[in-house]
Amino acid sequence: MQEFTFAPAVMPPAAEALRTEVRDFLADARARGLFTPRRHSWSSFDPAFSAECGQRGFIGMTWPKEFGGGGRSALERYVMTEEMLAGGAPVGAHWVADRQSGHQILHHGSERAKALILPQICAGTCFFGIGMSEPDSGSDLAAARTRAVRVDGGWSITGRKVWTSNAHRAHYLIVLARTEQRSDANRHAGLSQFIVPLDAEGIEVRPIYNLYGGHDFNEVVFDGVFAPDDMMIGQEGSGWTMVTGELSFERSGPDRFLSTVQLLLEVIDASGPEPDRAAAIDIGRKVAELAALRRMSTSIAGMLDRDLRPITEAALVKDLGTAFEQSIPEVARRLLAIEPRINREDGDLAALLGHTVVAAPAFTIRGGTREILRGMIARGLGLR
Amino acid sequence: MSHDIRDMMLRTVDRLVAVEATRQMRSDADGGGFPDRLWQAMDAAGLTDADTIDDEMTDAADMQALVRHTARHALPVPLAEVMAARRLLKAAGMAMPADGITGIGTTARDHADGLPRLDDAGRATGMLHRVPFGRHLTRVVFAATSGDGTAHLVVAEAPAPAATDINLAGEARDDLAFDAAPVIEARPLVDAADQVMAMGAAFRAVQIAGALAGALGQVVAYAGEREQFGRPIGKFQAVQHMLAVLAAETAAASAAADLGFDDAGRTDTCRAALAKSRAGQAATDGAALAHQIMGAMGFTREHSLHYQTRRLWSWRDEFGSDALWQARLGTLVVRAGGDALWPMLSRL
Ligand SMILES: Cc1cc2nc3c(=O)[nH]c(=O)nc-3n(C[C@H](O)[C@H](O)[C@H](O)COP(=O)(O)OP(=O)(O)OC[C@H]3O[C@@H](n4cnc5c(N)ncnc54)[C@H](O)[C@@H]3O)c2cc1C
Repeated sequence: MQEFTFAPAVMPPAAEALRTEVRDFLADARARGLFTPRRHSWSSFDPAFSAECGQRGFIGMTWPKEFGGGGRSALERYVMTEEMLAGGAPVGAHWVADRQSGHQILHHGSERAKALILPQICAGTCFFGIGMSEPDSGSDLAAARTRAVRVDGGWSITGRKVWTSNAHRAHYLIVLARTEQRSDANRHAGLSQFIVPLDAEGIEVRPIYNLYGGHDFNEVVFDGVFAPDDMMIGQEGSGWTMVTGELSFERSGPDRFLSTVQLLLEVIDASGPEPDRAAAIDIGRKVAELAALRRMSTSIAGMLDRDLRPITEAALVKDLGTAFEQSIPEVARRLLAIEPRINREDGDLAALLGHTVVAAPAFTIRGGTREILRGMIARGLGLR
Repeated sequence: MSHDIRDMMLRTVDRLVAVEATRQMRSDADGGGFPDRLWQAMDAAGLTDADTIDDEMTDAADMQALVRHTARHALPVPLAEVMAARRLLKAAGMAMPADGITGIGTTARDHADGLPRLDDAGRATGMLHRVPFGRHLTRVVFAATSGDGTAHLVVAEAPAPAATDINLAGEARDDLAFDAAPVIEARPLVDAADQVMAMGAAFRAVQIAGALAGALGQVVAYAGEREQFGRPIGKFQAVQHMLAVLAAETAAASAAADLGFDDAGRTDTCRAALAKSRAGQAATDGAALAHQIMGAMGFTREHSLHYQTRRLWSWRDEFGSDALWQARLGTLVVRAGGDALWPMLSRL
């Protein structure tokens, strides 16, 4: 059996200077009214803020300079991301491109795709969505039915994706599609990934309103959408391997436990200066959980920096991390004597609580459900 | 840190466990006894004072790994206490006595009873409660206050116990009373009491992480062997998910325990609180899951799981329960304010 170990990451010397740089940037951005801390979650979509991040070199930090990147280590990027999230910055617009799409393109994309797209991502002007889930393919991603068939010079994609976050405001999707029939012998074979611009002919994006009436995710219909050969990522049939590799970036970062930290900070302030014992215990418990999560998450960043693929460890951190962020509104309800409100324009604490309560169910679903993650951990323990 | 030396130490523990950690040894020690042969073997192998190897080859994290590993095997030995004593004395610029066993002691919960007093002649009067391995100690390190209220760190000969008892794991937890007893050395040290508590708590967090890893190992193996409904229970998804949560809690306890000490092996109230709060929580959930997975077999004297789980149930409350440390941490965090939280965490 395997016990999962999370060796402490050794932060590079430049990391602390970068931390200060990001904090200064955020202080300046707040002063200029670019955002209000404690009123957003990291997923807030704000292209103007993303452009600022691009100008400061906070996007694509680990990618080579020739593509507009910063040539820095994964740990430095980690420091930047955790500071952004802890500072309550609205980084949602460029988040997916920076976290995973650009990384995929850099490592598996064609020369043309790299030259065309990566510099725009780094500039903070090019946003991505993830086209994995389908109506009949959620947890069972390999059941994808969207298919890509060979045509002259490329592929023609037909099918339907759902829950596609930001498809109505992003520039590209990376689409997982079947390039070969599904076979019982190898369910994971025959899947490939394509970069598809969202303004391509044959694409229709329809809103799917979420439970509180917000418009973040969508249905995306593909009707014979052309993707040239050089917009395929990786080899034909390598989609599954890439998708699972990508998920260790998607699952281990600070975005998997800091979604509700702004509410926690409010709870801390509202409980001061002399908290009663019950409040102190609740807050202390959450802070200790948070500290341990950060330790594990930085450890994974260290592994990614060494080109390891800590897929199971990432699943473990996401399982613990999303349970943590999901519990914060409940702590807030216990300690704050306020009723939640759901007026999205209003920036008071009741609205923050209300928005967090209704957003929380998604944390343990998006990016792989809790149950799927636990299955992966069990596999890692040698049980499957 | 050298992984070679760390691995060598851990393998030495495994070797000693194979030879010395017999059923007989465990049952003899279970009830306040002391495994003399095991401790002597650990001594001979250089494990009881491995932290005095003063060279470039080992560091504090190696020592925590060693303590964690003995806890993984649920060895009924005071290694954590000895290391805690040595670190406390060293930080205060005091000498660790060379021979015998030097442990640490505190007054009852959060010093509610008041610390032992030091008189002008440097003699101690007062009571240490439930001192780990108390009756087996040669000397004990604790906090005391002098007549003018100055806190001191003290090392003194351990008196014969005023009362003997055991914890849930059958390890000696004895009250030690001093009645104008001469001390070996005493040094003024602000927060001496907090430092002893924090050091004890931080080591308990390390031990909890180890015992959880030991329980996880046994439970995973059992889930692969025990068959019901024609297949190993580990094939049932409900059982797999319990195991996954146990593994996650084990990992979280480890991560928290790592936070308990800085690179030099020092701790403070904040670090100890983070470590003990999270590890204590993991001990509770982890022990419950381990037992649920193992069914009635895990509830027997016969099976070895209880060596780890009874320790988890004791250790989570020793040197302050998780609730006590959570309350301290929460108070500290609230007083500093929300804006100070992230800078505090990111410095660790
Ligand atoms: C806010 C939000 C944003 C999203 N954004 C995107 C996006 O941008 N792009 C994208 O591609 N997808 C996105 N998703 C989709 C997300 O990845 C899927 O919801 C997720 O993978 C689960 O699939 P499903 O919803 O079809 O649930 P199902 O797979 O139908 O699962 C339903 C329930 O059954 C359980 N279950 C399923 N299979 C098993 C099993 N084998 N064992 C045990 N339990 C099982 C699940 O854990 C869950 O509890 C988003 C989802 C949300 C909520």
